[in-house]
Amino acid sequence: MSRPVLSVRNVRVSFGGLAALDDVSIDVVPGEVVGIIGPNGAGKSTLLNVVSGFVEPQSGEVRLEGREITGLLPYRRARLGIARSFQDARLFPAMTVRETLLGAFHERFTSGMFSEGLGAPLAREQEDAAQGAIDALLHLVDLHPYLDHRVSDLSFGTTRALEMAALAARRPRLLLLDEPASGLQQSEVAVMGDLIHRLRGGAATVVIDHDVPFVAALSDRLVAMDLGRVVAVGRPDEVLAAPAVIDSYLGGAAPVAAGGER
Amino acid sequence: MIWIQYLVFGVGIGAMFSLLAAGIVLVYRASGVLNFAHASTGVLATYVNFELLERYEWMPVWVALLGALATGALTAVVVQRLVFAPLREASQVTKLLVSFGVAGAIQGVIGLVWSRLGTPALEKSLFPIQRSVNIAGARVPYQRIALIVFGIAVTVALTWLMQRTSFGIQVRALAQNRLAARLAGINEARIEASTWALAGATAALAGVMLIPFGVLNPLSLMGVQLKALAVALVGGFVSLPAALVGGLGLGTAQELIAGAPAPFNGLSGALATALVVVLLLTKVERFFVSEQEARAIQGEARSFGAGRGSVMVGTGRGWLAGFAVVALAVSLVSGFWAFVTARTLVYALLGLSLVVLTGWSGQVSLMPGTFAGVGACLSWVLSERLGYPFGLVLPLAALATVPLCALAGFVALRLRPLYLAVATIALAGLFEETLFRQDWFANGGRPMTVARPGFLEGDHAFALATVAVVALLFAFTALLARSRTGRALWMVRDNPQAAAAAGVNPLKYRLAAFGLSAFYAGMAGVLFAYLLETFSSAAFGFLILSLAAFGLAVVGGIRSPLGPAIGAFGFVFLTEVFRSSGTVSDWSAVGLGVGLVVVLARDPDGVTGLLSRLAGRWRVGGPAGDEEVGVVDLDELASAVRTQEAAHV
Ligand SMILES: Nc1ncnc2c1ncn2[C@@H]1O[C@H](COP(=O)(O)OP(=O)(O)OP(=O)(O)O)[C@@H](O)[C@H]1O
Ligand SMILES: [Mg+2]
Repeated sequence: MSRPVLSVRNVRVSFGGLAALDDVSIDVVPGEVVGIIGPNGAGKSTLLNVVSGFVEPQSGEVRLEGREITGLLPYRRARLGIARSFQDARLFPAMTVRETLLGAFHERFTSGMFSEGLGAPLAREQEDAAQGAIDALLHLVDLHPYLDHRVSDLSFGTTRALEMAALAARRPRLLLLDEPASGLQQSEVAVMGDLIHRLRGGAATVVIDHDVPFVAALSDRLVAMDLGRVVAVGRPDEVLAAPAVIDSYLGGAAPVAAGGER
Repeated sequence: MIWIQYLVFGVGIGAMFSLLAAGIVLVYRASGVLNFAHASTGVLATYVNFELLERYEWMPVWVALLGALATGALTAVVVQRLVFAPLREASQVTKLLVSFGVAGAIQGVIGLVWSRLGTPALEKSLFPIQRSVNIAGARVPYQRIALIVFGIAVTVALTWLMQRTSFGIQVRALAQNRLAARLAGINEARIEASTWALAGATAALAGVMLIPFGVLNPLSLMGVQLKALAVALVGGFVSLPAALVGGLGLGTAQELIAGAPAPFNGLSGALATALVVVLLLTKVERFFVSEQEARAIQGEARSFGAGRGSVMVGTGRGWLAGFAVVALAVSLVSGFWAFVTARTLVYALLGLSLVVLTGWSGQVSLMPGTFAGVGACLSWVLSERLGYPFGLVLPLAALATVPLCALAGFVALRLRPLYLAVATIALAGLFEETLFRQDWFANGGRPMTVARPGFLEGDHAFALATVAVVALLFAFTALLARSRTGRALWMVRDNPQAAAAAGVNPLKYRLAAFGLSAFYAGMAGVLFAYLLETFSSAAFGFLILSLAAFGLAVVGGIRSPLGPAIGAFGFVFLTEVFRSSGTVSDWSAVGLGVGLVVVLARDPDGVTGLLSRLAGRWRVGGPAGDEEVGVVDLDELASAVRTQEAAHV
């Protein structure tokens, strides 16, 4: 097995007295899609926050391609190649779609405030390059009609698509998606699965969602969590059949049945 | 026993701080409004009080007092109903800014009315000033004792009211959980109106009692209110007992220091304000925040309200072309109008500093005037004291403003939006009472003179130079808006967490915004200094310059460089055009105040936003700001994706 892109070891997080993560360890190998399922409050988002730097664990460590990143601020981790989406899909409400996409190239620029304000050739070249890169991106997701609309005016599905495009633009090594299908209609969910495959570009990916069939179909491996602990790991069919998983869903009803057929 | 006199004075002033703070706390609790118009309400009532006494000789003072209390209560209720009731869901920062507008409007109205009637005399006070008692050998006027008695008694009564009565319980319920309180059958509208009325009446009382010690003008009590705000902050804007203790403590300390021997007494104002700043930084938001908290504060969005459409920014070339036209106009008009144009541009530049700081990075700072003052004083230091030529002073003074003002930036990074706004008010006060009174920095507050260089001596020449500098900075800003830096600022403003997740360092950009805005404001200060040639640091006071700059930037539209340009044209240039009587500045105060309220309540993009939408409607096929889009969902996107794929294969 190749070296994991992401390796989370024995992480503990508690808010007040509540243990949101209780000794959680997870590996993600290159190219792999790992799905995380679990009931509300299981600690799924907290795990993503620990990996992306928004929550600092009380103990345990996080490694990205072998390098310890525990303690780094979120923007530093982003520059090391971690891209994540947020459960709320708010993005940048007052910015346009075009600006949002250009903003995704932030870390690739080398120009600074002064070269930009003075209209120096370097700044202009980079701006043009970013515009070109956007065009390439728009071949994958057709956001053309919305380019000059503000994010807050977009429909929910379009916002999700924009979010995915902005993440893909950064060509991450590790892609973390927090409930990409929540709030979408059933027909859109299937499309979102396609979109993720198309846009992730082979990056190691972690997907959280409550739509179990959606996650299961997308993932190579599933991790089931409950009350801050990992209760099962393995191939999707194994995990979905595990007694601990069935227990944590709807008083014992099988998650596949709970999620509807696919 | 002179110190007893100072003690009595101090406790008296302190009791008034407490009384004003109590009113501020009441309103904050009931409506979440940190009401900057509180003092102005009191001033209006005070005018009515003394107008009544002057007009009707027979009227007993207590009847006039009742008139004042009624005026205060009524004004407050009208303001609450008319302005703040529709703003219930707005952010606290927006409400604070709106209250600035209300304060400006009330001051303007006072100016308009009493410029006709003439300012009433303050002779007939509640307690005759001449009468006094002897306390341990010190002569203490009755009126000073009345301050103590009334101030403390009323504040204690309000505390009792809030803690022990059903009315107080209802107010507290509203403050804690509005929805639950509504469901529990609390009559929100009535409770709010009564609270505002009560607060307005206490402001009136404070005005009638305190103002006779000073002068009566529309800006009376404003300095006192700044301290009352800080006092209210001691209890996090919610605790009345804390406001009482804080007020008495601050007042006493201030007056006792004023009574100290020579080198120390000068520190009175400064020390009190310094105390305020420290208090603000330690008590409410710890200055040295833990890593965890730093992350949390870093993650807080700072928008004080998004506009409805995308705004016009203009291109670098466009701005240069526009200013070329202004330069042409300047060389055609008289020297006076060249001077007016230059003054307008200085205000526009000051407003531009707020576009970067508030409009783009979402940080509400109320000290642009202070920054400008630093720039102006520095140009006096560099040119007159150190003998540097204009060509060096201009960039150096503006640049040196940046590190001096970085203090504010560092404070800002650690504060939540509402506290940031309040902290910058306190910091502005600190600058005014310390740095702006130093002999070496500001000529001890006396007038300073700087000499324009020979080739810029005339008003025409200097106005052209001003046009050139301002044009460059506007073009610079417009280019930034279409670049990585501008986008990074907006990302941090709109959603700091998502920005950080995209590799943008929120702290860096917030600080950069402070630095850039300090440079712009400092430059405005330098230009202002050389434009006026003789000026004093008092001209850069918070109440005089910062509020005007803030108001015109917001009304013009604070997200676009066009905003302050339009705002400055409207409020500086046009005011000059229409100046036919002395009241024109009052009219523009009313206009600015009302404009501020309307813009913040309806569309934070101001006049520019309006123009953008009109332009959008003109342009066929262009995006119109107002309409909802995005009826097309992923379904359609997906088919678009598939067709393109097919085309590629
Ligand atoms: N910043 C925080 N402060 C306090 N408690 C928190 C914080 N973040 C999460 N929690 C708590 O930690 C627990 C785990 O939350 P988390 O958001 O990780 O759950 P989740 O699995 O993502 O749930 P959901 O499916 O609802 O998104 C919850 O009980 C939550 O209330
Ligand atoms: Mg979650």
